[in-house]
Parts: sequence; structure tokens; C-alpha cells
Amino acid sequence: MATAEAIVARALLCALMDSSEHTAAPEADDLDAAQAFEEEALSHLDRLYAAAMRMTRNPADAEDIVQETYAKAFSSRHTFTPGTNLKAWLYRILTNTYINVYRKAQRSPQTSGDEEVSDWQLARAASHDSAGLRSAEMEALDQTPDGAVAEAIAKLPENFRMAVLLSDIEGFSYKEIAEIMGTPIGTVMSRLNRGRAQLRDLLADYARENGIGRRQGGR
Amino acid sequence: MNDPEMYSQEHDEMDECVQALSRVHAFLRNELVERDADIIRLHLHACERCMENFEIESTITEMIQRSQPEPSAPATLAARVRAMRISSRH
Repeated sequence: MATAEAIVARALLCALMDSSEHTAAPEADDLDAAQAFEEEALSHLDRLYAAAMRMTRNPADAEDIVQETYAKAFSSRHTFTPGTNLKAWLYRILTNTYINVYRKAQRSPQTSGDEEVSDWQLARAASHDSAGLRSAEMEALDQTPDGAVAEAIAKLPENFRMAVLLSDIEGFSYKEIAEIMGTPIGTVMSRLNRGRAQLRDLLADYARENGIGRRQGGR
Repeated sequence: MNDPEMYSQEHDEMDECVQALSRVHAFLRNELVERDADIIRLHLHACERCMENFEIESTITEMIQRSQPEPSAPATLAARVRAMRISSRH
């Protein structure tokens, strides 16, 4: 038989230890759900931080936007539909945070570049490919140092760069990128095509300027 | 017409190349429906130049991936984010 003191002590201990089993059922469910949600969100911390580093290219700024992303995510859990893609949901908050806070502060508004040329024109240009890379340079393309590739990516217009990173680094599908960037899928495809076309040109310039492929030319 | 060198310069063939190249990224990311992907595969078998272009794009994807470091979140950041959990405040 438990004494009154023992019961009180146990109740107190439960309260201190934040044990959900002794709280009222609906609250306990909610707390469990919140905990599960938060733990799952936290499991993406490293990837979000790496993504933030790529966006800001600065550790202090990356930490700030990741912290703000989690603050928003935790406080707006009710807007997340359980069973849907939490990783994409978090990336959307991260992307918006970056765009709203940092991009605005950093630079004058950049033209998106979305309307400049049609994808069709890009493909036609690539098929004739006079200015682009040709065989010898191409064969040696992967000798381009990582730093030069990273620099070329950094030169892309913001929207193109984001589309390339979300697709090629994070591995999101077009549909997921459309959700993250808040644009139609057609816009995602177009940004990715143009970003990659520009990147290819930048890498071709680098190869030419640094003689990549020329040394192997006689092969 | 049977000379593959000559045939590859025909106008229709060039249109096929433009079609294929406008879809190179969707193709490499498995974003095309099978029927459209098959049309591209068929073209790549016949067109060395497009095949080369697709290989280049695929190489560039690998270069992009290699160029981006994967830093872990600093422990201090992880601690601050953990402390923000709402469930831990109950």
C-alpha cells in the first residue's frame, strides 16, 4: 500500500520529469506529437546547415538563418501536414528566410533572368555549340579544381543557383523544388536549364583561360 | 542518305537534337515519363554528338556535387536549436 507521502512524491517526480503518461490524454498526445515532430526536424540539422552555408557562404549568417528556420518551424508545427515531406517543408522555410532576410539586405534587386531567352533557344545554341566546350576541353573538364567549380556556381543569378543546388546537391525532385521555391514546375525546369547552361559556359571559359584540355590535346 | 555522317547533318535530325538537348536535365534526373525517355535513348543511340553532350552534363553534375563541402552544424548551434524546442518547455 502506497502512503500518501509516496503518492505525492511520485506525482511531484512525474511533474519534474515531464512524464507525459500522467497528464490528461489529449495533451499527452499533443506533446508526443510535438516531440516526434521536433526530433524529426532536428534530424535534418546538418543538411540544413550545409545548405545555409551554400546560400550565404558565411558561417555566422548560415547559423542565423538555420536558427531562425527552426524557430519558425517549431512555432508553426500546426501548419505542417503530418505524413508529407518534412525535409522539403524545412527547406522551404530556410529558403524563404534566406531570401527575406539576407538577399534583401545584401544587394539591389537582381533581375530573375527568367524571361531573357527561351529554353528552346538554349537547346538550339547547345546543339550548334560553337562557343561551348569541345572534345579536348570536355575530356579534361573534370580536372577543373573544386574551388573553380564552386566559384562558377556562386556567379549564377540567385534563382538559377538555388534551383541548381536544390536539384544537383540536395537531390529534390522538380515537384519538391517547385514547392520549396513557391513557383510552378515549368519555372523550376527553366531555371535549372538556364542555370546549368550558364554554368557550362562559365566552366568552358575557365577551361580556355587555364588551358585545361590543351595539354591533353595531342592524346 | 545511308552515310551516317551525312545523315546526322540533315534538318530533321537537327530538330531531334534540339528536342533531346532541351530535355537533357529532365532526362538525367529521371523526370521524364518512360515514353519520352525512350525517345531520347533512341536518339542518343543514333547521335554521337548528343550522347557526348549528355555525358558532359552528367559530368558537370558530378563536378557540382564534388565542389560543395558538407559541413556539419556546429555543436553550439545544435545546442541553441535544441533549446528552442517547444515540447521541452512543458
